[in-house]
Amino acid sequence: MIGVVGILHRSDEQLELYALGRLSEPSVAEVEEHLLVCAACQERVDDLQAYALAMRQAISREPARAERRLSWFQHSWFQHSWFQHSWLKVPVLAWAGGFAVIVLSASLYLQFIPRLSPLASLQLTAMRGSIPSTGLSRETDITLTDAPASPTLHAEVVDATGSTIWSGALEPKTHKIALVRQLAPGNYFVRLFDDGGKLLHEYGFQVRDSL
Amino acid sequence: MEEQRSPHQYEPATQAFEMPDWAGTVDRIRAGDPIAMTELYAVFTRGIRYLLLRSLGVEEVDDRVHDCFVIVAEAIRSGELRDPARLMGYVRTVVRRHIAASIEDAISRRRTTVEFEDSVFSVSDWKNNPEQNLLARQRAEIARRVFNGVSRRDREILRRFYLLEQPQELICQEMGLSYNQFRLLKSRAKARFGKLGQRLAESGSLGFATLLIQNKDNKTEAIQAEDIKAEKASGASH
Repeated sequence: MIGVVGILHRSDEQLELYALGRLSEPSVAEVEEHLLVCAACQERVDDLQAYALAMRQAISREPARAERRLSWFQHSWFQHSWFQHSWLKVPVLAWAGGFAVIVLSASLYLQFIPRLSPLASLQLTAMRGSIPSTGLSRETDITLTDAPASPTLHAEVVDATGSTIWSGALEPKTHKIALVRQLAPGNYFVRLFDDGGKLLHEYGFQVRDSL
Repeated sequence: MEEQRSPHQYEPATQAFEMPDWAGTVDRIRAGDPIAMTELYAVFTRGIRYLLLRSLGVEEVDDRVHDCFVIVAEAIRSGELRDPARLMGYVRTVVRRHIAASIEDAISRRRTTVEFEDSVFSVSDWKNNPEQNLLARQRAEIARRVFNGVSRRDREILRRFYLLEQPQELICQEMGLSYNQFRLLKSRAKARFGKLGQRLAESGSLGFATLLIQNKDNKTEAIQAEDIKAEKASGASH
């Protein structure tokens, strides 16, 4: 019979980072050695991965920009001193004023803000020379056509100043990146890294100041 | 006062787990004890299979497990494994090498046979089955409810961690959080996810009739019967 010695299970936090592919290499080795012999932690990794995926799907559907605007509105607009005027404390007048502001805002929005296409799709190939471009859109789907077939590729999208717009794991089979936000006009670069952080490819694309 | 801890110091695990004593097992295998080999196989197969499945999928997984185990057994017998206490590290290295070699092989095959890909190779279906699709949809719906049920600040933390994949250190720094606050928020959200999921599964209030089934791993999961039928029907029609 095999003799046994007592050791500790891995923490939820460590297993979650492992499931998300965000654990550093010495810790990955530690966790994987444990997973080799611990069925309970294997199940926990699967559960944590399913939870993280569900949370990511749920969050990605939420309108983060609208929330930020609302936050600004609530904090700076409603806190303003003139908003405390007594006539605004009368419900009917307050509602009527609010409605008028909404109608005015909507008309200004429709007049001055260009209508955006709902989704732009780009197919990128790593090469120098002319780069693909797209018009303004609410979301952008990017496909890296010549990414190597590795299950653990990471990508980041940066703007012309090098600020990170998006970073994360690349979908292994489709090699797609879904940018669920509107990109400002300008040049952008997509960098593809392998598991060890080595830069594999760099792609460029342009968002035009028009549809 | 709240304890400040670096995000790299993980929450200590509290439950003990019984780990085989590898030195004794390795000695017995070297001495030619067949029972020790069987015991080793019983301990490692599931783990090797698990790591291979995570990286390479189900294709030829049994053969791959066998290949890895043969390499490990041969290394023990020949004395190549010098420190028996490092047996798990050695097994992991063998599995990782196998995964790397398989990926390299797949890349090379794709490069050299790309013209005949459609006619020569059959492409296996990587999609989830209807039950898995449904479970994923249910989990996403529960997560959405959990996400909408927390404060705006907590939502921002979850968004940064799960969607933007920002490191814990950055989130704590930019949002003025201690590591413990960050950890507690995440664990509260997860606990709520579990409770809400259980409650919805029991009440069947996800919009369909819900039943509980046991999957092949003996884990109870909520399945919506009508949806499964619908998905199967649509799958069959394709």
